[in-house]
Amino acid sequence: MNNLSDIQKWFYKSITHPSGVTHGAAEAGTALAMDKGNIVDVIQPSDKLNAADRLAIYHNAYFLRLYGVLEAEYPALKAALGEDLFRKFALFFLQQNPSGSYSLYDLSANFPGFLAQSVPSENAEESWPNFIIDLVRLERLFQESYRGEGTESLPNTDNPDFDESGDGQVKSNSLRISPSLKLMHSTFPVHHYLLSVRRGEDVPLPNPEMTWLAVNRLNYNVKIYELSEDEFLLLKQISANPEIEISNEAVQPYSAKWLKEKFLY
Amino acid sequence: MFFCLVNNPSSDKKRFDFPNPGLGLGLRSPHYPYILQNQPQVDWFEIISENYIDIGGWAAYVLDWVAERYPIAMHGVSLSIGSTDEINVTYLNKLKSLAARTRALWVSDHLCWTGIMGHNTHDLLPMPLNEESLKHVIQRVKMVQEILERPLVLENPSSYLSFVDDTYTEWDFITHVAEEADCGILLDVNNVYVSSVNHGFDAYQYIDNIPHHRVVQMHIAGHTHCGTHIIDTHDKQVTAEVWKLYSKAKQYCPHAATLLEWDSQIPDFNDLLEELHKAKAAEKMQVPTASEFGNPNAHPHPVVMDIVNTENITLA
Repeated sequence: MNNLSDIQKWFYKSITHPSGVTHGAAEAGTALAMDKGNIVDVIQPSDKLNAADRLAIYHNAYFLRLYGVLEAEYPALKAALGEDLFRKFALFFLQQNPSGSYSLYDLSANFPGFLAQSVPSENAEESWPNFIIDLVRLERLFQESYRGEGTESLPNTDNPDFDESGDGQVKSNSLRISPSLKLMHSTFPVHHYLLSVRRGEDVPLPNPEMTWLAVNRLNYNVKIYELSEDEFLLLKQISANPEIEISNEAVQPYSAKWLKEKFLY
Repeated sequence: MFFCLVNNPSSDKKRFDFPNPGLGLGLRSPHYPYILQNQPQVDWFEIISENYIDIGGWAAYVLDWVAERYPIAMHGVSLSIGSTDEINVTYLNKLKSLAARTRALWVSDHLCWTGIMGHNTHDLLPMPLNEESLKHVIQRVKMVQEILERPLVLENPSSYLSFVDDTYTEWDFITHVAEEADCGILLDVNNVYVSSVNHGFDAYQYIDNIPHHRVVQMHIAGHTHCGTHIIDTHDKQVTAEVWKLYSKAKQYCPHAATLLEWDSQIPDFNDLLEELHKAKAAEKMQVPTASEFGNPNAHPHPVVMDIVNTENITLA
């Protein structure tokens, strides 16, 4: 009789093996040095299904469920890659990055990083992979902005103090970045593509164009903002170091917008 | 037969110490706008705990709004009470915080394991039903209850296989766990039916032989017949067979709360309410009619993550 720990490891390896439960169980049985590691040694058949078919129900469900999560979270990526290629990347990602969290929201946190590492170095300068990677980054930032903390429930979000210090410097305690503000730079207008896909439009892949974006949530709605390079770099600077002192002159062109859109509070 | 049921010794025991809020529905994001606009007449809501841990935003706002107006019970899918991995105390502390925030009636999860070696399959995997598993689960339930500082309520999951090394029936196993760890039971009547077909046991024998005074809540849901087995899909109406079983379970456990689960192809809120209210007829032994639904390609358990609405993203 196998112990519970070995049974669970065997079961897990069997239902997550990319080649199916027969391969998975055989590999697991050997790796765990189980005396009785064949499927029929562990799983009872039913009147209508043999032991392997019963185990395969869990194998199929594992990949379908987690693939469904990626599919739902990255509709624009799926549109850009096409269903077949998206499925290949998604399933390979799931094999390489099994969930270690109690939350499915964490499942795809590393999906952008995984895709970035999937680009062969000799293709790193090609535009299409860069578009794909930036698109998946933007989709992830949208999820993070949508689900994370925002300014809606924070106290005193209506009284930021940019210009009243009188010394030509913005006080550090006035520069509170919204927790839902995300910034990204892309060589493509990936936001237009993402929004078109989400509207159900069939759009071609865009041409390269330097793009600086902010993603932020305001009153529970996520908005994507096109920024100038200067504005983007300033926000980056502030978000990297909230204690930094920046001149009023630098902030002044943007302060009204930042307050209105709650980039800062 | 009715008199036998109401005179069952376990029915005379004090019900496990929770209130009965009545008939409830799962709180799901497609219904947020309707709920906020109409504050519908439903006795209580069940939330998937993991959907509200570590989040801010719209879902958190809706949760607080609902918690101010309705009783809430928490139903988890990642406790992994049967796993031989260490218990995740961080996760338990977050559950505890969420329970305090929502003033949860109770905290439930499943008698299963979901992962091993630090991984989570996000599926409800079956336990071998033997002595080693039993001792392991009992010890873990006691530990979890100490951390949560409240009783745990455990649900019988649907299962699609059994183990060669099983030595207990599922109803004996859950009875031992509940009695020896002193926890509550969430009796999922649909799961009893699904497993009874998949394993060839008598669903009524299952219902007869659990400690009824520990049943805090019941689940009802739709399933899909695949020809060779049944899958618990939560995507359609409750079948007549499950309503019949529910009628009997309700005779044993008249004070248990009832919740309709529907997690995929979710209908309008009022259609859900209509389905839920069939439970009232079933409780009077007037079994609602419903068809058996077939689909050979069905797969178990809908994804329990609420997907964001595309209307929530715009270009400024």
